[in-house]
Amino acid sequence: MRRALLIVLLICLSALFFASCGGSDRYDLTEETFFYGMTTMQMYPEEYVGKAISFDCFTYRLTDVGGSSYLCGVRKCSSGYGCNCGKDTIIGFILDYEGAIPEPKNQSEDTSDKAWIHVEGTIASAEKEEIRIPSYDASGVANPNAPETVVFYHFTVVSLTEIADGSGLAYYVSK
Amino acid sequence: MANKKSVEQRKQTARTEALLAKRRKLRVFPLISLAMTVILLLLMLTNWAAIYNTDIPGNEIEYTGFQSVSAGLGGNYKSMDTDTFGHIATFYAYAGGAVKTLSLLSVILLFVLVVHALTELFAVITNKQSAFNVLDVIFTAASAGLFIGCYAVARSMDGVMIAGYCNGNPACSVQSSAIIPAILAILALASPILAMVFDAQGMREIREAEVAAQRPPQKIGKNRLVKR
Repeated sequence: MRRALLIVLLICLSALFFASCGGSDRYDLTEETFFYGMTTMQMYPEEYVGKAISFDCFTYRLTDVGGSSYLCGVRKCSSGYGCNCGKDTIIGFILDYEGAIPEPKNQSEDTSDKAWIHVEGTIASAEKEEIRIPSYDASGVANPNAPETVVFYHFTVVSLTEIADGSGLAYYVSK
Repeated sequence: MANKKSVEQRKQTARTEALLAKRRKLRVFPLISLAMTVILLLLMLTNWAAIYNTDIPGNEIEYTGFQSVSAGLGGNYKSMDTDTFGHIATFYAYAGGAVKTLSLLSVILLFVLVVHALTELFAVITNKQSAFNVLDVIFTAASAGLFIGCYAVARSMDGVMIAGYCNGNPACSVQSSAIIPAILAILALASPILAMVFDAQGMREIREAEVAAQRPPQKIGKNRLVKR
């Protein structure tokens, strides 16, 4: 009897242990997992370097205070996962691709009519790119004297597919 | 000789009847303890830590007791797999030490609850309730202590999560449902304690029955015999 109970106990703990070891080498972000997956990758990029990652995003050109521009694959988002507390931003990667990346369309407008793409590739390295961009005051006017710094990681695109109809995709994500 | 045999037989019968009555009464306690332990296990499915924001309905991020156990067993605190780990990765980014402590407590807690449940099952199956009363008290008290510990550690993340994740938003707070099983576990202590009281009472009754059985019948009046 005691032996049977011990076996049951060991089976319970083993099941939990194996469930917790579900590491993966491939991450396909969906509409449901995009924001949290992207947030996690931004928090722990070293965990995802070299892993196969795919997601849908729209192209966005980020220009720093020095005039350099970076073509990114992003979505607009709330300032924190699950939060709707203002100070919206964008989340995604700087795209490194040997082919042509579609130019952004309505990148800052509140519309889903954007240049949507599906990308597959990997995070090239956990080295962050700090980009100084102009900050904006409450009325939306740029203040070049007080730039703010945003952090992006580079994503090496292996394949890129244009999405003709992005109406089913959320350009703004909050959860 | 025959009289001695008869006294011995009566003594045995009294002892058996008293034991049976006591066991029938006591059997309910390990069943209650077993049910409570299963409920406590199920309550580990509730939020162990959650960012609650009065500005918006519901929680922003959260993870359950079992998800805390999963992270603790696998040492995986940075996963985006929300089914297995909830939003533990976000908590870990701001309060890594507390998240690890909470996972450790949760793993120990799960172990204690599972062993407790199996012990109670064993007590019910073998009908040896009285032998497990002390163990029942120890396990239940340990569970209550661990649940309180989980709640305290989760709440201790409040300051760092508000300052970091919530950007100082005073509407934010870290809440934990671990307080519910903690209160239940404290209440559940009543079951094994009552079992011990009734067990002691039952033993006294048996002793009294044995003493009564040992005494020879006493004559009262002309032909009536009574037992004292």
